[in-house]
This record gives sequence, C-alpha cells and structure tokens, in this order.
Amino acid sequence: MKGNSTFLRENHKALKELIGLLTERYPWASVLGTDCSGLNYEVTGSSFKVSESMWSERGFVARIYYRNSYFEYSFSSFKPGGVRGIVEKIAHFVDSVSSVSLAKEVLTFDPPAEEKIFLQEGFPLEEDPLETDPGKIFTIMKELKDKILAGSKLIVSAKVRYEGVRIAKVYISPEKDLSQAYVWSQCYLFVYLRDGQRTRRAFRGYSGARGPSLLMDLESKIEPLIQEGLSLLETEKIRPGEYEVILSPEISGLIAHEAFGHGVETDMIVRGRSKAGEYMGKRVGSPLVSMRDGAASCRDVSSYFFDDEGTLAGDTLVLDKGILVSGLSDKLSASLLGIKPTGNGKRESFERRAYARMTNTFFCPGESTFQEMLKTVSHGYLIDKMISGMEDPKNWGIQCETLFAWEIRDGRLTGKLASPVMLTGYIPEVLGNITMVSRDLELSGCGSCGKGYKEYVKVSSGGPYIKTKMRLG
Amino acid sequence: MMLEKILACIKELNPFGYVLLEEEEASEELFFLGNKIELQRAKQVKRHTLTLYKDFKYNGESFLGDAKVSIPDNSSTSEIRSILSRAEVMASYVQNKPYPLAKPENLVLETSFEPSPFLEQDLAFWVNQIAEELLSADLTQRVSLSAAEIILSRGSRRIITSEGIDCRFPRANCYLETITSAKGTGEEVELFKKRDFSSYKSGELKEALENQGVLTLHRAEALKTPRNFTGDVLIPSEHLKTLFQYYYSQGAAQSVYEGISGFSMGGAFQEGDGDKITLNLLPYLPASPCNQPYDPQGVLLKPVTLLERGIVKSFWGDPQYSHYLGIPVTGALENLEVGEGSSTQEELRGEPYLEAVVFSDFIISPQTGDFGGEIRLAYIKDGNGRIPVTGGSISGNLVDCQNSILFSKERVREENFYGPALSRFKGLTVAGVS
Repeated sequence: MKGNSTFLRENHKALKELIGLLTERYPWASVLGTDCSGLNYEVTGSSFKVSESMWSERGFVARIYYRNSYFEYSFSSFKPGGVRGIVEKIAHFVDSVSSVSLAKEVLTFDPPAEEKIFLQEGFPLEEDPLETDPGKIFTIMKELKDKILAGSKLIVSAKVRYEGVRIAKVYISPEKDLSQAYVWSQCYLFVYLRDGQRTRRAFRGYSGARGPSLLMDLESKIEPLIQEGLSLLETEKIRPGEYEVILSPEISGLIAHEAFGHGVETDMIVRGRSKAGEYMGKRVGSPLVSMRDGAASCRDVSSYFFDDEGTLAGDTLVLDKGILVSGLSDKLSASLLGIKPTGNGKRESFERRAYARMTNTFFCPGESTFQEMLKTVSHGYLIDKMISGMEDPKNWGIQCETLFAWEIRDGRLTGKLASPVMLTGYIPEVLGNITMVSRDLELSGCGSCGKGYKEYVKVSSGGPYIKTKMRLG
Repeated sequence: MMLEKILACIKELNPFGYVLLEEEEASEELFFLGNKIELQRAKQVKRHTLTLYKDFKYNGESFLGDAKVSIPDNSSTSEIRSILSRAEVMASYVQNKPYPLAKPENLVLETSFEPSPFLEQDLAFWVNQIAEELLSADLTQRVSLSAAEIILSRGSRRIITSEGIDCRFPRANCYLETITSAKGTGEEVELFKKRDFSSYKSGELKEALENQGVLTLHRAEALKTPRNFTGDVLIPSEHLKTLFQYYYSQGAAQSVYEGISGFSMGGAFQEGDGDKITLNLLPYLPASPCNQPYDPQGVLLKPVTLLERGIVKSFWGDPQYSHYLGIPVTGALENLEVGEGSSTQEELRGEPYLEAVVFSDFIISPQTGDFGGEIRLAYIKDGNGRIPVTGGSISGNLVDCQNSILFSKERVREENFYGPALSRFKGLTVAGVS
C-alpha cells in the first residue's frame, strides 16, 4: 500500500517546490500533508446512520523557522494562486506577527537539525474500510443489534457503532521526504436498560490496526454485555475509602495513560506543569512496575512510521522497574530541554499545532496470575471498564471514573457490584503500592485522548492486571 | 469554485434530497509558555460537507436513507463524482422510515442579536488585545502564569438544500486557556481554566485571570478534604452547566423515541420541596460560542421551552425524530437558559456546606444522570469559618437528588449557559482523604 494517496502523490512536486521557495526566504521550513478518510457506521434500535469520520482530514501545515522562532500556517488548498500564492500568504503572516510580537517576549529555539531520510512505508492493507461493501457492514451490525435487543425484556435500546479510518501522510523538509499509510478500526456495543425511572447503560469497545474484519468476532461478546447491563440494575453504593484493588488491563492502561503518560509529555515539563521533570532518574513506583510508550512499541491504533513533525516512530521505556527514565517528546519541547525527540509529536489534524502526545502506552507484564492476585485480597474490588479519566501531572493526582467495581471478599468475587465508581489517588502512592502484576498484556484503543479538553488524538493503552491500593468513591 | 462544482455534480446525480454545508474558517493563534510566546500560528481552510438522501423500497417497505460525507477542498470533478456516487450507495443501505426534510422559513433576527466583534478588524488585532489583557493581569507574588493559549477563529457557514434553503451566516469564537501556578506552604500547585466566547468586555479576561490566581493560591494553602463530611454540597454555575447536559439529552426526540429517556410530554419529573426546573433552549445568548440562526440541517432556530417548573413542555429534535414522534421540528439548539431559584446565594451559603469550585474534570452520563469529579478546590463552611480543601471526590445521581436541589436567584453566564450562579445539593457522596 506504499504511497496509497493519489492526492498526496499528485501534490508531492508542489510540496517540494513549496519547501524550496520557503527556504529561499527563511532558514528552514517543513510541510506535513494529510489525506485521512474514514466512515462512521451506526445502527440503533430505531435507525441506521453512516457519516464521515471525525478523523477525516485533507490539507497541509507548513512550519517555518525564522528569527530563532517557529511559525505555522495551515491551509486546505493551493488554490487560488498555486504554490507561490501560499508562499506569499505565509510570508504575509510571518512578517505581520513577527513585527507585532516584537513588543512581547519570544522564546528562542536552536536551529532545527534533521538527519537525511527518505522513507515510503505502509502497513499491509488487507481491508480498506472505505472500499468494503457498506451493505455487508450494516448486515453484521444489524444482526449484532438485534441479538442485544433480544437479550432481555428490560432492554429498551441497543447501539452498534463501527468506525474505520485510512490514514495517509507525507512529511517534507530540506532533509526528509517521508510518506506512510495505514488503517485502524474501532467498534462499540451498547445496551440500554430501564427499570422504573432509572436508565442504565453498559458498553464494550474493541479496536485494532485493522479494517472491518474487527466486526467479525463480536457475536460472542453479546451475552457478557447483556449480563453486565442487567447487573447494573442492582448495584450498591460503595462506602468511600481506600481499598485493595485489582485493576483490569483496561484500567491499568488508563492509570498508565492518565497517571504517568500525561506527566511525562515533555511539553508539560517545559511549561512547569509536570512534577516528572524533578524526578527523572528517581524512583516513583514499585520495582514491579515498568512502562513503555511508542508508535513502534507494538502494533495498535497509534502505530505509525513517523509522527506529525517527521520524527521516526519510537519505542520508549518510560519507567524501568519503578525508576522514571524518559519522557515523551515533540520537537519544540525536546529542543528546549536539549534532548532528542522520541517520535511523539502529534496533531489532532493538519489544522492544529503539534504537542507531545502518547501513542501506545502500557505497563509491562509481570509474573503473577489473576487467580493468585485474587486470593490475596481480603476485602477489595476488581475495577473494570473505563468511563473517563483526567490527568493532574503538576500535582500527580489522578481521577478515573469506571463502570464496574466488583466486590472481592476473602479472595473471591462475591458478585456484588458498585457502579459507577470514582478512583482517585496520589500517583507515587498508587504506583508504590503495587504488590502484584499479572503475566497478561492487553491494549485497547477505543475513543480518543485530549490535551486538557481539546486536541483529540488516537492512542491505545493497556497492561496486565495490577494489584494496588486506591481511594474509591 | 468548489461550491459550483459540487452543485453541478449533485445535479448530475439528481438525488432525492441533499444538504450541503460550506464552511470557511481563518484563525490566528498565540501559544505562551509563561509570559513568552512559544509559537504563532494561522489557518485558512474551507470545508464542504454533504448529506445525500435516497428514497428506496426494500421488501415492499419504503425507506429514506442518507449518508454524510466530506468533500475535501480542491477535489477534482472526478473525485467529487466518486464521493457522491459512494454516498448514494451507502445511503441505499440506510433503512430509515421516511420523513420530510427541513423546509425554508423566513429568518427574523432577534433584536437582541449582536454580531460578534471578532468579525470586525484583523484577527491579529483581537489576538493582541486579548494577549495584552492577560499579560497585564496583576497576579500576586506567589502566583504565576504557567501557560496560555489564544485561538481566535472566524468564518462563515453557508447551507444549501434541495428544499430551497440557501442561507449564509458568520461565525466567530475565541478559545482561551490559562494555567496558573502557586506556591503555598507545601508543593507548588496549578489550576487550569478554559473558556470559549464570541465577545468579551474590556477588562473581563484580566479580572478572570486574577480571580484564577486567587483560587490557585487557595488551592496551594488548602487542607485535605475531610473523610467525615456529610453535609450539603454547593455547586457553582460552571459545573451546573455540565449537569444540565442530562436534561438536554433526556429532552432529545431521539432519546424519547428510543425509550432511553424517561421524559413524557406534560409529565412531572420532580417531586418534593426543591426548586422546580425551567430550561429554555435558545438560538442566541450574549457572548455564547454556539450562536447560530440555523442548525446544520437548515432548520431555522427559535427559542424552545423544554422544561417549565418541573414539567416537560416539549422535546427538541431534528426533522427525522420529530416526524417519528409527531412533534414540531425545533432543530439542534445549543444555548441553555435555566430559570432562577428561590434563594439568594447568601441564603444558600447560610448553613454548613462544601462548595466545590474546581474539579479535575466534572462529568455526567447524559443517559443515567450519574455524575462526579475529583476536587481540586472546594471550601468547607462549618463552625470554624470557610476553609479551602483539596483532594477526594464528589459523586451522585441527578435522578436521585433532583427533588431537593435549591438554585440561587442570581444568574450568570458560562459560555453557552445562562443560569443560577449557585445551587445546593443534598445526598451527594463526598469521598474525603484525611
């Protein structure tokens, strides 16, 4: 599937010309071109829907290095005026803002240094979400929806959602000429139940670096989903307090992502927004805990060959047996810190700036089994199914909301359920209290990750089962 | 011109119906690291989104399918034809019961509608005005600005439909993000604040940043939230706005039609002694980033009373689900106005309470009403005065507590929300930490 975007191939010459003209005026310039297209299918109890994916985008962003600063200009078309027209628009923008900003203080950066690289890559494209027969996709989804609806009289509605996206990007600078292409998919199954005045919702999500074949394996997931939904009609309130908890792979991934992932994004460190900068090389967790991140660390929804700043994909060991050893960098923050970027410069789209972002983030497997972990808990909870999470890297706080907290008493699951549950904690304590890590490793890449409340990018996260202590409320 | 090319291709295909959106957007963006500019950006983009409708029969039953696709700027005619053809194929599998598409109506602008000032002058002028205001904020000695982002964008949306709607209106928004840090007796702490707005009063942003600085200092000096707190919880407008997503979702025609909502027309959803809820949906609110005369399907937007004193008065919906329910089409209104309560803020603060001012993230499930968030800053008032606290979480369910909520008489504006400045909740779970 090398160079699969006709649009980007046809514009390759224009992009080279753009870099040529820009570097006649400025010390350095680069351009990222994107051609990403995806479809979002939805089947509910009452309707069908197919629409463009929120991840679809097609356009360009040029980055200029001038007067020791960086400027960016995003545009969707070379028309009217062609390449020279865009160069004039960029020049007008850079001249106007650089003169206005003279009145303010501006951060200075060292000149960019890139190695000479030519790369054309693509993961094998066995199934293109855009070329797959929509009738086939809808048929499978309708069957799944009907099976959910037939599961209980208390079920009032069901929803099946599938999204498949085809990504193609090029990056060109004086030193680099890179192109890549790949696909990813995600699917959700929802069940809605009503008992009296109360509505309850259970869901399951599946994802992967693949196409619509993701839908093929889901029939067996429906019965557990219905049972989970029914169990939500009979939940108990949790007594707020600190408990021994076993975190499922999905929730340990959420902790890895919210607790440490955001905190080691180096743009947070240069802003003074993360405590991690003070702890590099120091112990921050139990010796049982190691954590990795990288587009090249595994094959999942955030696996790529180069990031949105043209840095090749990395495989970064973040925590090594409880010691913080590395951050995750975009180019600008790496430059300010005097370190090498790790291939984590990602944009929501060509219309937005790049930040240091996570890719595939996970705790590494340990040596215990889930059953061994269960037996050691006298009173605690098995925590599963993420609803949301929010980082607080400055103060190493964490907030996660989960759908399920299954009670454990004397080493056994009692079948009692609390839902939803708020998990909070102080990260060094949560990581320091880890006493067992299972041999499993599961990653999930459903949904998206924001920087604060915007800049959504695709990530995956996961890990093994982890036993620790957390505050539940 | 892209628009003409797309319309010509639609004409060739001759579909049952279509809604075509053309959006133009330009932005200027400033990113600060401390008080220094880190990056300056600009954007100039055009987007086209087409919803194509196809009527068809399957097993003797009539359906109206649709597919929504984007047509990238500078697509060739052959690319547009290919995208339209694929949309038509996709729509032919969408087996939805038929419904009429939105029809043209004459727009009568509200007299109170004031266009955003961001539509005048250069974008750079406004970005600099906003930056100047931030940088002139008088933060106390122990407080500093860690980072800020100003993303000012403006443009227009044009909607053309097969039913004869052809309207164009301007849009403008400023996204402002400020992060302040402060050093108290312990470790340095920070607070994050973001706001979207389409206009502002001179001095308003400076004052808001200075207030954020004060709250940051309070967080730095806060005690841990006690484990034994069992009293009422006060929630300010910023988070009340989040809670009203539940009522907005419950009042959606699709939620009602699918049985996910428990609302029924004319039904009472509140009992007990609490203030009865009134919720209006508006096309226009001063300074709101969501002001628009038409929704994306071309429905002309007019004010709608969704809830009135605890009674469901109407639902809001698009042409499809409104037709299924047999109710008037309101379109998707995004501004919420909540009626005033029975008590003053002073009265609500008269008894012991925990007032939750800043959360890490305050969220609600629009389907179930479960809500909660981790406390970054709250105040506890008991016999010992008003003390700042931090840590732990608050959680509850809106269905469980809606009968006893008290709202303030005073109302304030928060982005696309205008409602009580303060509200008092009973029966929430406060998970303290010390």
